Amino acid sequence: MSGPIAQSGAPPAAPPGEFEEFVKARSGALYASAFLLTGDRGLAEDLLQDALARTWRSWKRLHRSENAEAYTRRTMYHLAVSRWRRRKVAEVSTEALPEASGEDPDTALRLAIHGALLSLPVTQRAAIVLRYFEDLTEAAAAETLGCPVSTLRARTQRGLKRLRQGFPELVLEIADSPARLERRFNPQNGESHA
Amino acid sequence: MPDSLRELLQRLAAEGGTPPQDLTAGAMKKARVIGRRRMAAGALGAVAGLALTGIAAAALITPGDDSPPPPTNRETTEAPTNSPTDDENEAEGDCGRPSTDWTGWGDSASTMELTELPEALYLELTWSDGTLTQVHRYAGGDSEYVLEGESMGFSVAPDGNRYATTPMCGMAIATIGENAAAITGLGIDSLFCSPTWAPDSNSVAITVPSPEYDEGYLLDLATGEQTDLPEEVSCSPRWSAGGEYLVNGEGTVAMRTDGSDRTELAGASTWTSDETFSGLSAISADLGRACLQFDDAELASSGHIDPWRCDRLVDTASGDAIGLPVDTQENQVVFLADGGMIVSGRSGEDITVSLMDADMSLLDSRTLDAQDASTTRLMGYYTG
Repeated sequence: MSGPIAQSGAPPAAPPGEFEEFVKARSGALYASAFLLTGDRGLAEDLLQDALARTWRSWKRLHRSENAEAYTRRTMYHLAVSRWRRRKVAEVSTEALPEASGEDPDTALRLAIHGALLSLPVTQRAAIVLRYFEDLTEAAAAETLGCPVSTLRARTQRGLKRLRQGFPELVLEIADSPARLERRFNPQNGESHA
Repeated sequence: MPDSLRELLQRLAAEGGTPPQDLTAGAMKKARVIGRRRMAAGALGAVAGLALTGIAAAALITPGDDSPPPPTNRETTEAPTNSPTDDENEAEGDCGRPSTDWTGWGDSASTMELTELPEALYLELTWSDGTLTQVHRYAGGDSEYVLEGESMGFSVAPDGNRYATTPMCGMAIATIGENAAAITGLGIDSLFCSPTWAPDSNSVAITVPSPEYDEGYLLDLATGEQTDLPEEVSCSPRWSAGGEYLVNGEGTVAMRTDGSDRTELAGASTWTSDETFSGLSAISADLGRACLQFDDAELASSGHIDPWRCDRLVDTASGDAIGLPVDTQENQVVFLADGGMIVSGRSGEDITVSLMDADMSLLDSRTLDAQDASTTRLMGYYTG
């Protein structure tokens, strides 16, 4: 029999330089995703910190495999979905969002999108952030969320539909079908992500 | 006016500002807290295992999940202690090992020469319209689910009895049978390194997501013995069909569980150079034939694939493809110790399971209802 009882993953007292460098280099991008997922700076910080904590616990292996960022990202999305499922963290209320001024169409649209995004179930929100912000393929986004591609696709489509239904002002700005919505949002290439 | 959803999201994200400067320290502090919390949860799980019937179900139900428990009413006859017992000041046993006092569950005694398919087959079914995964027992022309959970799924041993749950960590190894037993609170990393079962269902290779030591170890469920794995095969190794060798996920090197008889597979460069190569799915007892899975390049390089399909059957010496004599899709191959194989594949709404001898001649075949599942994976076949 080898190995001591319950060898634990106690992290060393001080972080290795590589972990600090990793956090420094990638926390900006990860935090941006966390903010889109949570809609709140404090919650985003909390979410990212939780994901990084798990990355740190597995740092030796992750560092070797150079998959630390993918691990952190996936953990972050899983934590976000898990928290939503368990209702431990209240859904962010769109009432807390800044009022749309109505004066600046750009700001109004942005605020409306933000509100609409935060009104979505987190599974749909995560799918849209992964696809349209992180720019992942359907397969990679599905893998990150741990769901089949068809599920990812359905979540994305439902999310886009709810964006349109929940915020009629967006319908006026964009289109009334996911495909047209997509063309509206991607006028250059007309690529279908949904 | 932003001209794309992507640009809108980028602007929104920018409103979040920059991340705080003390993320590293905060992450480390949380890591310690998580460790203590999971330690407590692991110990509680073991106690609960003694007290509750249907421990396997209890271990699998996600809090807040309304999914029904597995239908069988199982008694917990053994729930060996598994509480990590490190120094309490170093209680970050996020994911512990079983106690070394544990003496195992005994020999599975399940392997046998197959001349026909066994009466009972266990398959994992996953549906595309949700994140649900079930393990079904097919027997006597009917089926029933015996395990149910979220999409991270299960790793069921070839005997169709022992299994490991594969959520992130702190979960269980248990049995499905009438007298279920369980070890809970184990560290099982499934994000990158799913547990893999030996053909005899007595040993399972587990990776503990710990930063401090080589995480991969073998847990012998017959005796309770734990053996550290060589680093080269410490993450989801594939077992040769006879259980003599472990092969790394890249399918480049094989060795015995103690690291001896290290053998490089000569044809490996033909698949490792392919950017769509996801990993080794299965390998024959003589290491001469292997099944490989391929996905799109981005997915293949993600590190999150647990290969199981036989997208290409190859001669490991040359890397040359070998034709698989079936006309089904999404084929999975289970190599058998005698050189034969079981092929499970999809044909429309059906699953076709075929037993072939060493010459790939058909010995037996069975058609099963896929029950509208999008993915079906054979797990238990030494069930006689």
